[in-house]
Amino acid sequence: MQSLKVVSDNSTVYNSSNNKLDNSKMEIKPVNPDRALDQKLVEKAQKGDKQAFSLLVEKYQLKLYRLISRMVRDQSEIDDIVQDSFIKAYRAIGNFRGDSAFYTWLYRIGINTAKNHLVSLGKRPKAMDSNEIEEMENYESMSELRVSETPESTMMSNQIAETVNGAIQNLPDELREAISLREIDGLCYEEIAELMDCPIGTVRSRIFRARETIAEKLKPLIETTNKRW
Amino acid sequence: MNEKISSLFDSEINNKEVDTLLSKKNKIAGVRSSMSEYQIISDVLKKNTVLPNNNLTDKIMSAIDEEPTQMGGIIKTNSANTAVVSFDIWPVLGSFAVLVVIASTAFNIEVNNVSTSQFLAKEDIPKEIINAHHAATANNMNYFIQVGDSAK
Repeated sequence: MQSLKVVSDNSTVYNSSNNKLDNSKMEIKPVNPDRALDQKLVEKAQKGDKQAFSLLVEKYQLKLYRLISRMVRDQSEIDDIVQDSFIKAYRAIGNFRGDSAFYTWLYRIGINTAKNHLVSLGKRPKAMDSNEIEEMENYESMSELRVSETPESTMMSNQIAETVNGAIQNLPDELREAISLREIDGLCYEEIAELMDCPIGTVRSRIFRARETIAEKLKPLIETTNKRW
Repeated sequence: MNEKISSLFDSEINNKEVDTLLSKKNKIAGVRSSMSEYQIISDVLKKNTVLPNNNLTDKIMSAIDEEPTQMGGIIKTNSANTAVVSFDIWPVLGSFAVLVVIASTAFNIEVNNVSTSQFLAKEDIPKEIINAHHAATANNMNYFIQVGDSAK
């Protein structure tokens, strides 16, 4: 297992005894587990393993979707651009040298594909400066989705959010705390283990059980929405 | 199995576990489905807009299944954040060596025949020796005609 100690962005850490933030503790430089995993999957894809590439698709399709939605509004057009981008990435995967992170490389393909798409429609793509491109490549900052939403899709999203939030409220404390530290605070397993004063294996198990419990409540709703969407 | 998927979603999984997951080809669809559900949960918790599960991954992978399998340079991971590319280097090196041999041969011919040898001779050898040498040496064309005639 890689070393996973990570500095939080604001250089703060939770104090497990009083649940408050302590600015003095964390000095450790991050090792990016995302990038290490991506390299592993890319390496396998380069050896011809399409399943490995499918995991990269699953991991990044939504993030790429959010990225493209900043340039193109129509949902079906975004779908096509995302699909084209992944196909181009797959065709070029042998040339990916790992000089940049996989997602940076993928996002550049996505941006270029979107620009070409707009040009083909006779639309002029918005000129972006390097800061803007860098910001777009930083997927973590892109929570906002800019597609035209229908009343039905908004209602579905609200239902899903209510179901998830309700399921989280009903979780046992230790599961709720573990998944909140992971998803909301963005801590790695090792940090969570330190804060919750338990082994990493326990953290892994708690986060998994939290997800599975929520997913059980979510599944019927997802099946319904898939039929409607 | 599912605990590994949850760890995979968080990128908190080691290489051996990735290999194990990928070795179960018939379960990859289940892996992707679980990751999709985890993504929805993650989006809600982070207050991101929840996207419909539009089966985009399935569509993309169907298109990719029709593509020829891609093979290419392979990243070798030295540490978590650095990567080195290793290609099958011998064909490239072989081609390069042939080019070097051809280029150096051409360069030597040029150097020996034209410029350098004549230039050095004029610079380094005393003039009287050069004159004596020219006087003693037959004109090239006449010499070979004479040799050719005497051979008959």
